[in-house]
Amino acid sequence: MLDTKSTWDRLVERLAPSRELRDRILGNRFYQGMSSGFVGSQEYMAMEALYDFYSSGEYDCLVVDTPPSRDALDLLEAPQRMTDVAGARVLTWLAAPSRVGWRALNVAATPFVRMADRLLGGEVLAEIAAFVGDMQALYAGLRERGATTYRLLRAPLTGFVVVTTPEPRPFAEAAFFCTRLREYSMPLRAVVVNRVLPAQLRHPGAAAAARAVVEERDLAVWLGSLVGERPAGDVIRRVGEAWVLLHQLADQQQTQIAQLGRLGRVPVVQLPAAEREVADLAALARLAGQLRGHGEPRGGE
Amino acid sequence: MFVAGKGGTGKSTVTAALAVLAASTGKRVLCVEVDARGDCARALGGEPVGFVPRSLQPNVSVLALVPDESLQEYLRLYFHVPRLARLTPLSRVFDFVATGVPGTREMLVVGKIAYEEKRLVDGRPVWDLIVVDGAATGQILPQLRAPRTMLELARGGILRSQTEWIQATLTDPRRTVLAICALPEEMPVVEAMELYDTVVDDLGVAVGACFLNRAFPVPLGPHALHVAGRLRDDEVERAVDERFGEGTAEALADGIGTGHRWRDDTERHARRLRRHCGMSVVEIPLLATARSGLALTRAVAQALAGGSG
Repeated sequence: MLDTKSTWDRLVERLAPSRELRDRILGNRFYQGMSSGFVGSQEYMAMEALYDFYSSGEYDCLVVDTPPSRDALDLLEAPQRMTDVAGARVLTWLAAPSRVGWRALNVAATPFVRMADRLLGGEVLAEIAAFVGDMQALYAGLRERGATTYRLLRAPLTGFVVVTTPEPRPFAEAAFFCTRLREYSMPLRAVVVNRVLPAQLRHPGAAAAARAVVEERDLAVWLGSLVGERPAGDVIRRVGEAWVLLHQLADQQQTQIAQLGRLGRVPVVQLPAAEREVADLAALARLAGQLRGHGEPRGGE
Repeated sequence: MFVAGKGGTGKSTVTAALAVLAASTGKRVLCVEVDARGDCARALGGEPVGFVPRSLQPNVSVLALVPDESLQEYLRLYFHVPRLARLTPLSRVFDFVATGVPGTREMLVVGKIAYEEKRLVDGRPVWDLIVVDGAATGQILPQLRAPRTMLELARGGILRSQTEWIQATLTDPRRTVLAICALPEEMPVVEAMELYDTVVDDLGVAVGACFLNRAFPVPLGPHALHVAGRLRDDEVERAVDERFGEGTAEALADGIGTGHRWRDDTERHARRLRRHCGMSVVEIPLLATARSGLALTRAVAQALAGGSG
């Protein structure tokens, strides 16, 4: 579990040119608000921590479990965005008054300052200005880190695995994500389609039998007597209904799976819907075995 | 009504279905999309919408929250700042400030919703019901917590009195409730229960309903398993396969097993949720006839209307 605040603190400690500046930034209220986990900050720091682990050389393989795909995009854009923020003119503009002092500024002249002042109170603004001023010494370092991390995400040793289920919405999300990866030149290596219902559910004879059991009373009676289920009607009929429903779902999943080519020409692994939820090590080991068993390229099918 | 729950639990569909259901009783409904993905608009048969409410079904309008536009509207309403032009750098400054001042972006989300709740035209409320297609749990909690954070920060002035009013709206069970969505699976149910605890104990927001989506609708008890067992008997298998083709009996037996497990999970998780939240859990059946869009929304609305709870 990544700790956003301590990652920020480490970064400031590393990049601040002096002890005094470091302490001033760490003590700033605006900095504290930002570093203790607001949206963009979290994503950027996740990437920062990833780069730390990578350069420590301590691990042969780093596996990152990203948030759902839209938010994962924020993660990928984070280094780039941080570079943008660091270079933003707007910050220099905000920071400018801190050099001359807020009081010296003709407040009435800038509607933004006047408004922000009414809304948030002068204190908050002064704090922000101080923070921006102090951070300027760190910008070159931040920019460089951002650029390095971004390069790492696009390096040949990096791989993205997109996981989806054969349902329309998750599938659309996955397709969107794959497109974005291509746009970023970030390497998509495999697609995992999880929770695929067993092929048995598409057995045509069984489908016909299940439908017949639901629709034809004679057949329900026939099957009932065959399996020795006395109140022939109800249980047999319900079994038929359940089977028809599962069959329809399996069919729909197959329609979705047939469109896998939309995700790109990469190896595709289909994992069966687990009999029980994957909630212990044994189940995880089974899953790992299933992942290993597949993996031959099947792109474009 | 805020609809919340883990990602993938069908929040958008439930939001749209509740809206359609309420509209069918003559209520004027606004759906609010919090993350700009357009899922809710699509579930109502339309294309993604913007910040201005658009009517997509009779009596149902949808708007998508965009913090930047929300800010502009706020400034226009309370500070008479004309739209744009000299505010161009504002959004970038705002982006930056919002990163550092806890809850700024979240405040604009709940603030806009509370504003729509209060809005009158000709002396009567514009909306009878507002259903919010909430963001995933990780975001809805900061949103509901934002007014409180803001009250700690803003000691006086306009912002404080406005925030107090928003907080009063959120914590009034006659005006604001949260509906929790889950699936009959471990993680969504655990997240639903944690969400319930945080919302009720910590945030003081009332929970009004609990939905278990994709519930397996056909009850399959021990009798069904017995049938599956018998289908594996040589004699029965031969008779069934003879009539319907090779492998039929085995496929039927396997399918019954799958359905039985799904039904078992449904009942077990519904029970857990019911006990934890102390309220009835509304099961939304797994629907195979419609997969997405307006057709699915209508089917879910119908199931909700016919179901208990």
